[in-house]
Amino acid sequence: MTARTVGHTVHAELLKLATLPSVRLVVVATWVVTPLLDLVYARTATTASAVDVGLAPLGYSELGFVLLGALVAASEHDGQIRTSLTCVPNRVGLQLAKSLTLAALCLVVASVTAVLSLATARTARPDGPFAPFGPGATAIAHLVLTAVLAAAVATVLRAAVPALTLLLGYYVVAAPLIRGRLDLLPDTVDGRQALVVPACWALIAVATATAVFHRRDA
Amino acid sequence: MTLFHAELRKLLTLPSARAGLAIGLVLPPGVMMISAVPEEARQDAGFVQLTLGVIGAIVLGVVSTSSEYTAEGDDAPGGRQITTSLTGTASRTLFLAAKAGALTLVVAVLALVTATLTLALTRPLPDNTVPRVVGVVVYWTFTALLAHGITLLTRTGVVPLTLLILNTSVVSVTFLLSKVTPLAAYFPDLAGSHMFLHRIASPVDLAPVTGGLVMAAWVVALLAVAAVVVHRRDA
Repeated sequence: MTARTVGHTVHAELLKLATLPSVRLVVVATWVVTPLLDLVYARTATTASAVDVGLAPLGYSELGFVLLGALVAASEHDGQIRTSLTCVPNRVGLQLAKSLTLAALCLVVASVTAVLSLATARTARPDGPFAPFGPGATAIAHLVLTAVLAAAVATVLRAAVPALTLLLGYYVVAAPLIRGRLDLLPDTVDGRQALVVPACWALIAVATATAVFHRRDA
Repeated sequence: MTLFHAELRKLLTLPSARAGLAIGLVLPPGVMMISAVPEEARQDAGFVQLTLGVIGAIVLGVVSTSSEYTAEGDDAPGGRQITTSLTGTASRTLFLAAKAGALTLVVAVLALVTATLTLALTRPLPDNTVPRVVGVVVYWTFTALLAHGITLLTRTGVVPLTLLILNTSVVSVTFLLSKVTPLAAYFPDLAGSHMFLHRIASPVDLAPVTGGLVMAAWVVALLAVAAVVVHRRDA
């Protein structure tokens, strides 16, 4: 792929993302629900600091990003994929362009989500120290990686409902249960190497999805 | 009877419904095996794990309906199972009744088998096991019917699946809401769990039967709305 085709492919993918109704719906829902959860959390967790109150609901917003990734990838396999591959026959290039575009969109959406959440938390809890930038940036990166991972899983499964069953089942039910017992899970966020583990998972998932997409009939 | 049989076959041969069966069957006993039961949670041992398995029931409820509305693919563009189903049965009431009936049977059997398996792994066995297992079966069945009703309204599995799975998490949305208003105790999942759990952090303490009736009221209301909508709407 020349630089020009890469530019065109990314532009086309961006256009698709920006015009998918499900993307708009999920983004708006995430932005509405996250600050509401902040308010609920500020009321229940009376001892938590403003930063903690702002970060806690992002565990729920994460599901918005799971949805975003899974729905975007699954929408492509509703027949759209034939058109996409007619225009861009380079499958590896197409898949990588997709992941890149999704990551870029999610970076914007996640940044807005985190700012909304932290600002609401600060309004609800105005006193005490407030240093949101470090943990905020980590949380944003984590949300982006989650969406990329979800998109890769949905690409392999080629349908939204099975992908969401698997992903939501993991994030909502399985993860809280096994988090204390196993290390190196995709949603591990702690310590200095906070993002290394999720980033590795996202990379492995994208590589797997690209390989599967490359070898399989569309 | 033919209709019921047809719906049963559809449900049991869907790959994603089989996934739902597997999740429901494996999750609670699996979690029970890796859980240590603390002293104060002993009276609910096994039953807490069974609340997680309700995801299997949710998946069954969602896919039994969402599969009707999924496009069949490029060989039959725009073709959906629902058009065939309604050609087979012109009466939408009968169609809905058969669908709900098949779902109820499958989920009830799944809940019973899973509850037996999970409690077989639970030592010591909590009190009043038999009536509480009935509670679990009713809870799973009602949850599946709620999923079925919501999916009939949305005609896509994504929304109900997300909402309902999200709400089975350890700190569920309805639980958070119950911290804000005591009325949240009357949400179907919180009210229904009184049928088999003793230790619930709920602002209102409902008797098991009352909890079941509250949940039943939700199911009846939702299915009634869904039935009216399905009747009046183009398939």
